[in-house]
Amino acid sequence: MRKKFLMLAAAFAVSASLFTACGSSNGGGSNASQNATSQAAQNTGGEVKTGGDGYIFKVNGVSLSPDADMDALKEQLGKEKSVFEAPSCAGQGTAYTYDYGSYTVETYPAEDKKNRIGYITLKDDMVTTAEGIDLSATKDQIKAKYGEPDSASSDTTLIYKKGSMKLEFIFEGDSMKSIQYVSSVLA
Amino acid sequence: MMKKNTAKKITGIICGALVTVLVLALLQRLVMPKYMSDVLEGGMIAEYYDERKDHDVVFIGDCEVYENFSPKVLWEKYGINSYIRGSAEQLVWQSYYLCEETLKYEKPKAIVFNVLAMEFNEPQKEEYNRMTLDNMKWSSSKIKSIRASMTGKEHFIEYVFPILRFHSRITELEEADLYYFFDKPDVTHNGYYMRVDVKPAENIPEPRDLSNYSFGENAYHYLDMMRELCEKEGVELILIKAPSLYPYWYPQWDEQMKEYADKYGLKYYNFLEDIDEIGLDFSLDTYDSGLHLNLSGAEKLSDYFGNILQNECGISSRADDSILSAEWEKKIKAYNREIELQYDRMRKGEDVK
Repeated sequence: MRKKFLMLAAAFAVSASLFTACGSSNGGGSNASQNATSQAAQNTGGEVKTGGDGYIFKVNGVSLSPDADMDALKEQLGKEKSVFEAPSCAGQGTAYTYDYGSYTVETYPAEDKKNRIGYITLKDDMVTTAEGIDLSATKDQIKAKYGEPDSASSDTTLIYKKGSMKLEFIFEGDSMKSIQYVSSVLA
Repeated sequence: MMKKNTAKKITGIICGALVTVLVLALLQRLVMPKYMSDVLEGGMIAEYYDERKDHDVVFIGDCEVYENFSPKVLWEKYGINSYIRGSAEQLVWQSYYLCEETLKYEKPKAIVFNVLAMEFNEPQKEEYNRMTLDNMKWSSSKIKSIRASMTGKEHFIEYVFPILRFHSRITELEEADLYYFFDKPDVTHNGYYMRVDVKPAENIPEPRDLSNYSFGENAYHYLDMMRELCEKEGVELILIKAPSLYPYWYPQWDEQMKEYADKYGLKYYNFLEDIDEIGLDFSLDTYDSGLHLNLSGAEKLSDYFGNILQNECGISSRADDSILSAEWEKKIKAYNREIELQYDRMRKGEDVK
């Protein structure tokens, strides 16, 4: 009888130790609540992109780049014309679109819970890239400034990848429609 | 004597193994997210299995089906018995395998698929995968769906033994983990996720230009599979685009779906083109600025679509089916109770869900 009890206790101990060992090997705790969301995010050990390693858009002395923390930059950018909130399905955070007239900034809820920049879109020729290209530029002018585009480019889009982002010049016919800084997290 | 001892040892080992498995299974159940407080969407897929599988119409797709259509209205006004197999950011391959699984249980007259998911050609996020896959019953459809859905960071074994994924929740268990350990109440009404609150659609951003408007090969591959499966099973596949204002549904995307539907003789309804006919008022009929409809919006859309299902798709009323009527009587009571509960919470200034 004593033997049986010992064996049962041993079995329980093995399963418990498997459980705790597994826990510690993976970093253990997170601030997850009921959902798999933050739990999964933290446990995958996914690297959170923080931006700044690619092309940068400068406006009013502020440098914006895909994956940068928008909340840390909003005040410096001044009052936006409008903000649109798009809560993700199933409580996966909220994405925002900030409209500043000549450009918009779209954010995504990152795994570290920060409001990170997904897209910066230049909409008119009141603003330029840091390299001096605006919507009036031709494909040749862009190539002269940035070199040969990435192989993923097409007749309508010139793409330049750098770091964890890409810069896209989107055309309709010969005229440029928009310039976009795109995070690799969303691309 | 020796034989007796050996038998005892073997029995002991088997008992030990069984206890280990039992303990691990209980721990797994304990740490698995219950999806009962803030993210109710994670539990939706499981609810279908408790249904009597005798539906005329089964909706399959993302939030644009489970938040925008009310099966209760389809039953009450048209005698159509429907169910929504929806989940958050359900991708086309997941929809296909849910369709495949559904058709193993029942043969509805129509499967309705919302086409917004065509914009995704690759696996997206584990969090959403989990909400669709974890609560599917084990079957070849689930296995194939997991394999098609996994992102680079995920492992199949963690779907087989979710304890490997969720073990660290042991240090942050909540009351709900114990409260819903054995059983959970339904959070939907035949798959419909109800919201009675109102947040008008304002400041919807201009659509961003895309470098490429073509849907991907992978997305088309699974849409083809869904179409072929439905055809083989004699079930009509109906494509829809729900009238959600955001994310933006590009005319170039719509054109591709129209061409696809024309090519294969499918019906395709883009309800964004029918907002006035449906009677939707986006200052009243949405709870999140136009992303999804609230109760009044979903009921208007369901009424509109019910008419189409009946008159254009030939789905006849079963209102005189006494078993179904009795089932729906109970369901309608639960539906009305939730409406009252949500309005009550609103009056108290609480979250409606």
